[in-house]
Amino acid sequence: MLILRSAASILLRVVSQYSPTQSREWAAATIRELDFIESDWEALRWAAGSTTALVGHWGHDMEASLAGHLRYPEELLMKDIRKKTLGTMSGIGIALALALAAFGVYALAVYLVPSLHTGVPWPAWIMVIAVPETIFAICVVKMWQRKRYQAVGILLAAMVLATHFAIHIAGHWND
Amino acid sequence: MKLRLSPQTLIVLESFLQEPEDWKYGYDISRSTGLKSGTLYPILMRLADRKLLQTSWETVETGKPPRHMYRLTSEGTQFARQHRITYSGRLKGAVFTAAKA
Repeated sequence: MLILRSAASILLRVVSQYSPTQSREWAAATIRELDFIESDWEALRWAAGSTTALVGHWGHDMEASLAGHLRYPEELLMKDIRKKTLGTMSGIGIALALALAAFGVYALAVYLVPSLHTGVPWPAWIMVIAVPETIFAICVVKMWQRKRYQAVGILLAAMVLATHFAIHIAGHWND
Repeated sequence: MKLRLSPQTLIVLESFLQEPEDWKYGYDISRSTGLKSGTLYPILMRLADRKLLQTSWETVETGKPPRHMYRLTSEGTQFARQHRITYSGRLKGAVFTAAKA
């Protein structure tokens, strides 16, 4: 079950790495607590819950930061918000389109080769999770300097997909 | 900004009030209150943001990373005691619900 504990640790370390400065202390706190959790499943659940809490905290920070911008002229502020929102939403849209395409290819593959859908669903995990997540990671790194908000959108979608996958695996491991 | 006093927040405040002088760790609070990390940490973050909770890093063993710990500030203790009285009826229901879950 070392894989579960490693997954928990990796998930929190990735979240910590991309956390804004204000959230890093909390991310480090949740990582450290993993060492004191005996059960591997409990560790994975702890990591999934902590990820949700930390992402929520980012949202709160962004909201506070946005409120700080209110002293700017209204037009400039609206333009800035529009630019950031459109960038982030387009990033999420691109990521969703890719994830749906991957799922579509897998569904077609299962239709053509039904044996793919028996036993441990490695082909599904590779097609629907590993490949899109790898592409997301490459895109985020490549786009971070020039198209920051699209990259943020892709990163958010990637994190939601990864968290969903971790929770799904945790819930169905014994099935 | 006003602190949202959900039943879970009251449970966390109550757990701190058991030994108000002692520092507590996140996982220990989670176990004693029955709250999952996804519920507990937002509450701790909000309490810390409002200066009701103080945080500190403690080195448990040499060579190992420090551990984050929490304690109510004097303002936090006062706040918790005040709302413990005000919301005592609601808190009993909340603890009962958490214990059942």
